[in-house]
Amino acid sequence: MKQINLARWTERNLKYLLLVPTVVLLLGLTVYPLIYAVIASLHTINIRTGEQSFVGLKNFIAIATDKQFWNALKNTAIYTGVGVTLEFFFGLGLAVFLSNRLVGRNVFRALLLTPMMLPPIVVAVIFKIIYIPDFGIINWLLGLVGIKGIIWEASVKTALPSLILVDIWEWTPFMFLILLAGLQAIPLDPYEAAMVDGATQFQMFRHITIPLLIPAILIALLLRLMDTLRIFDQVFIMTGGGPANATETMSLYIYRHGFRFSNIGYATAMSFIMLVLTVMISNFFINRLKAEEVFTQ
Amino acid sequence: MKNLTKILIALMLVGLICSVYAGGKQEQAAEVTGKLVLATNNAPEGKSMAKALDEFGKLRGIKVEVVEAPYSNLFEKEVLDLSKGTGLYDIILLDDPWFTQFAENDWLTELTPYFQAKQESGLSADFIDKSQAICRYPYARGLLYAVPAVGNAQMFFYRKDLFEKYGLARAPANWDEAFAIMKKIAESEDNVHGYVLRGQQGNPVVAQFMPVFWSFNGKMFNEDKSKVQIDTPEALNALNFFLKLKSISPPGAESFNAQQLATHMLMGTAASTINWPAFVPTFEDPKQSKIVGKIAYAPIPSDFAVGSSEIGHWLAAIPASSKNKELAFEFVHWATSAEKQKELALKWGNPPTRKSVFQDPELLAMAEFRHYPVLLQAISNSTPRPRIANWNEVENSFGIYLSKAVAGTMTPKEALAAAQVDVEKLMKKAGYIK
Repeated sequence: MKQINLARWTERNLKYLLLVPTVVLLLGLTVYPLIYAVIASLHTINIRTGEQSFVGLKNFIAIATDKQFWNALKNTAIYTGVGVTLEFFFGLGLAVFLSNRLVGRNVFRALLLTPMMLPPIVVAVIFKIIYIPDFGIINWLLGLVGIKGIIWEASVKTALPSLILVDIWEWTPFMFLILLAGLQAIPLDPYEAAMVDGATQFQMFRHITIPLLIPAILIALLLRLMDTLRIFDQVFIMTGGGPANATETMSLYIYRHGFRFSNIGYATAMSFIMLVLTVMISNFFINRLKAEEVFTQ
Repeated sequence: MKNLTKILIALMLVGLICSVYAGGKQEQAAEVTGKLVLATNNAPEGKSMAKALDEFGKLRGIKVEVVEAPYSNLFEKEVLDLSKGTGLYDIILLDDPWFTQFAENDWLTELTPYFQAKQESGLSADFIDKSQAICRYPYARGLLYAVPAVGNAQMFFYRKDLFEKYGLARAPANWDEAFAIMKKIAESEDNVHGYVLRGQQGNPVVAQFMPVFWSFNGKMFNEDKSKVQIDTPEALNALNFFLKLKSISPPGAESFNAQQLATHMLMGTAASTINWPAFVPTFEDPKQSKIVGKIAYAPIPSDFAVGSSEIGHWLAAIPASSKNKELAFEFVHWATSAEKQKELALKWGNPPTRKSVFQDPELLAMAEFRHYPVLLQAISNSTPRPRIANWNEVENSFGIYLSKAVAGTMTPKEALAAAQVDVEKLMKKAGYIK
C-alpha cells in the first residue's frame, strides 16, 4: 500500500523533482550572490584593514557625491551609446550588402568574423601599437592623404573616441552575424508580392525587411548593450582610465575599489547600481521582444 | 554468476589494500618532507623562481606546485589567501609596494627565528642595504618578514653616441646638464626625440615622476606620515621639470607605458628615458634593437638632491598561514644564496640582490651584464615607494592628477593642490593623519 502511494506521489511530482538540481544551482550561483551583494553593499567591508561594519545606505550616499563615479558613468554611457549605435548601422549595412549574391561572398563573410574571434586583450595590444603617433600605421596612412598629428588615445579629446573605434572594429561583426541570420530567415513571398505591386527597393526595405528583422535587431542590440556596459579589457590595457580620467569606465572604477583598494562594500554597492541599470535597459528590450511575439509564437 | 561475484570481491579487496598502503606511504612522506606551493607572477623573474622550486623539489624529493598569475591578478590571489588565512601558499613572491600592507596585517611569517635556527643572525650582510630595508616592517628598523629575491631599480637609459656627439662624453651628472643635451638632440637630429616619458595614468606616470620628485628634494610624506607634502615648492619644481621632459618626448606620451618607452628606444627615435632594467637584454639584442652598443646606463641624474630611482624588488615571503614553514624557509634560503642568484642571473637574466653577485668577475666579463655596476649603484641609492598600507589608493589618486597635469587639463599648481587634498583624505581615512 505504502509503495503504491510513494509511486503515485513520485509520478505526480516528478516534474518538480526533475527541477530540483537546476533550482539548487540557480540558487547557489545566482540568488545567493545577489543577496550577498545586497548585504555587502550595506556594509563597509575592507579586506586590508579587516573592517566590517553595517553602514546602512552610506555607501550609496557616498557614491552619489563621488565625482569619479559620475565621470565613469558618463564615459560608460557615451562609450555604450555611440559604440553600439555605430556597430548597429555598420553591421546592418554589411549584412544587407552581403546577403546579396556577390562573387566571393563567403570569403568576405569569414574574413569579417575574424575581429570578434580575437581575445579583447590581443586587440587592445595591437591597437596600442597601431595608435602610436610616430610610427603607428594609422598615422602613416593618414599622412599619405595629408592628415597629421592625431595622438589618438593619448589626448583627452580623442581618447574615448579612439577606444570606441576599437570596440566598433571588434564587435561590428557580431551585429553583422546576427542581422545576417535574421535577414536570411525572412521568407521571399512578401517581396514577390511587393514586386508585383510595383514597390521600389527602398519601400521593400522599409516596409518588409525592417519590420521582419526587428526581433533580430532587438536581440543584437540587447546583447551588445549588456556586453559594452561592462567594458574593461581595452581600457585597462590602452589607457588605464587616462589621460586625465577621460576613459575611466564603470568596470574599471569598480575593479580598482574592489581589487586594488580592497573596498569590497563600496565596490559591491557600485556593482549593484550597474546591475540595476543593466536590468532596466535589458527589460526595455525584452518587453519589446515579447510585444513582437517571437517568444509566444 | 557466483564466481563473478567472488572475483569482484577479491578485486575490491586488492584495491582497498593497495590504496591503504599507498595512502599510508603518502602520509609518511608528508611527515618527513611535505609539499610546497609557490605563488608567483608569470613574468621572467617570477618564472625563474618557479624553475628554482622545481629543482629544489627534485633535490629534496618533495612535491612542489606553482601557481602563476599575471601581475595584478597575483596581488588579488595573495590578498584573498592571506586575509582569509587559508594557507594555500607556502611561499609567495610579492612586489615590494605590497609589503607594507601584508606585514602590517600580520599576514607574513617573521623570519629571524628561522635564520637563528640555522645559526645565522638574520639576512646576510651580502644583501644590499636598501634591499634589506624593504623587507622589514617598519621600514629598515623593524622585524624581518621577507627575503629580497629579485633586484630591480630604475636606471637612466641614454644614447651614448648622441650624447657624445652633442658634447657630453660621460653620463649626465644632473638634470640641467642632461636636459641641455636632450634638447639639442631633439632640435638637431631628424626623428629623434630628446626623451621619452611614461605618462599613462595610474602607476606608470607615478613611477616615472617619483625619481624626478626625489632628485628635486621632494618627499611625499614627512617621516611619520602625518603630513602630506605634495603641494610644496619642491613638488612644483619637479612637476614643472617633468613637463619640460614631456615637451621633448614623442607625441602620445600621455598614454605611454614601459613597453612604448622601450619601443621608442629600440627604434632609435628617443635619446633617453627612465625605465626598468628588465629591458636591457632587448636593447642588447641585434634582432630587435637598432641601438646595440649605442646605449648606456646610468643612475638617475641629480638636482637639488642626489638622483634616486624607485626600487622595485620582488620579495620572497612565507604566509603566516603556511602549513610548511620550515621547508618553505629552506627553499627561500637556498634560492637566495649567492650561488643560486648567480645561476639564476646566468640562466634567466634574473637581477640579483647580493653585492657579491653584482660584483662577480665572471658575470661582469659578459656583455649582457655590463649594466650591473650601474644597477648596483642604482639600487644602493634607491628610494622605496612610501611605506604605507594604502599605497595603491594613494598612487591611484596621485596618478590621476599627474595625468591631468601631463595632459594639460590642469596647471601643475592646480594638480598638486588637488592631489594634496585627495591624498590627505585618504591618509586620514587610513589613520595615518589623526
